[in-house]
Amino acid sequence: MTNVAVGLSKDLPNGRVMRAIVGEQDLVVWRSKSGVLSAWDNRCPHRGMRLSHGFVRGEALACVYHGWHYDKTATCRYIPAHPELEPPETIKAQRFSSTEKGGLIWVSIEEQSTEPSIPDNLKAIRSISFACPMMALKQVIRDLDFTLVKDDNSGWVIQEKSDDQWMMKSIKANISLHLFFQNLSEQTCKIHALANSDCAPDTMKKMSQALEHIRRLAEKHYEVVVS
Amino acid sequence: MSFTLYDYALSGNCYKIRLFANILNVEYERIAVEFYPGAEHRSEKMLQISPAGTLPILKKDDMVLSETSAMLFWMAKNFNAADHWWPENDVAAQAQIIQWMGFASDLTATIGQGRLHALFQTPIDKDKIVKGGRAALRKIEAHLTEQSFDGFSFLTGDKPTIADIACFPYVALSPDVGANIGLDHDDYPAIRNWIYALKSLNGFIPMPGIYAMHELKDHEIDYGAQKPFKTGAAQ
Repeated sequence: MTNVAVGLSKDLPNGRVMRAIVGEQDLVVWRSKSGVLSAWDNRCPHRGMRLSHGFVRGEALACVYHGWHYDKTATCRYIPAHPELEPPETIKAQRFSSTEKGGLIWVSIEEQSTEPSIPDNLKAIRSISFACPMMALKQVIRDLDFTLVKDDNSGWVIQEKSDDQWMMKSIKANISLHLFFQNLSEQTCKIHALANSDCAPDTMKKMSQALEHIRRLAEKHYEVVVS
Repeated sequence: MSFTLYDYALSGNCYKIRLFANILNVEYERIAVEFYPGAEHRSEKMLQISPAGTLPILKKDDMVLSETSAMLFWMAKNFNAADHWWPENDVAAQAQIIQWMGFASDLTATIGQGRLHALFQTPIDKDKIVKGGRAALRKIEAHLTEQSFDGFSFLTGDKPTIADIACFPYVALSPDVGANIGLDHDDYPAIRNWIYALKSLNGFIPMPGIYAMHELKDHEIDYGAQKPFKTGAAQ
């Protein structure tokens, strides 16, 4: 599994928190005020509250339940109910390795991880969720007979660079759409989509709409299959 | 008093009026109505004030409004709100605002109903409500995503309008309908950014289920800045 794309960098500005799932692992992914990225087990060691409900206070993540503050090493540094107490070093959340490359946030829950492979200078389009298995979604994309962008009738080729990374490239127009798949459960998955860097806002909108189109097809196809 | 609001604290629709009044810095009379369990909004006394039998009710002298979109419009005009809330000379923008005000009713009919069920066990067709709620969130997510490509943070441009106020509560409250049914915000980054932008507005107030953001309270101690953390404690 190594490094998994869990979101777009642009969707997690400084001082913000999000939740992510990698395999069975529930994660809080957050970025400090100065921009330091972290990915931890999504559980406050105090009472088990999801840390993804928490909030960033400077360089710390605070749990929303009782306000325990954790620094970037995931160690508890401050307990509001006991402001004079220096919390024991042993109160800490479980950390995982996280990195950013190519406009994506990557998390690895394995000890060994390889550097993510992604071209530089891509333009982030959007993360989009699907209520269908990833296999069903991939099959629908493989079988697509379509023009991804309305005024481009030249057709597309799909390069399956790896299990999780596909590229759809227009045969004539200078447009490429990079798809990074993220499996969430047997019934749900996500695509994090990026395009070539010179992509204009109008083309970005069309790509976003194309992803909506793919979602309608994939979920409809899956409903037919299961019923 | 500028107007009277018949109000219920847990109602997302009542919250729209409280929120906009606070943003506009308008004082008003607030009368609490026992929506649950007393169903006071359907009492004879309340039906004589507003035959619609719904909350909120906005009353100003002889004028009685029962639709929140009408209330928000009246407030923007009556209290001389900044032009971006209802752009006076931009008909296209007004049309977009009315469009999204209509969408706000879809949110009430889906997420609003689902939340009433979660709070008070009101009977609903749960399957239909959840599907409708998810379709609504996807629609607004897609739109806000496209807006972001143009550098816009709000539904119709770079500044909020009364349509943002109208759509905000039931989008923000959607996780309260239930867990693991596609109505939490994990799948919707553009919605998360929009909620953040709305919560950042001057005059924002919370309601049960829509929290103020602690990280924006700069009067509180930024622990990280004041007392530097030890580093290298864990690897």
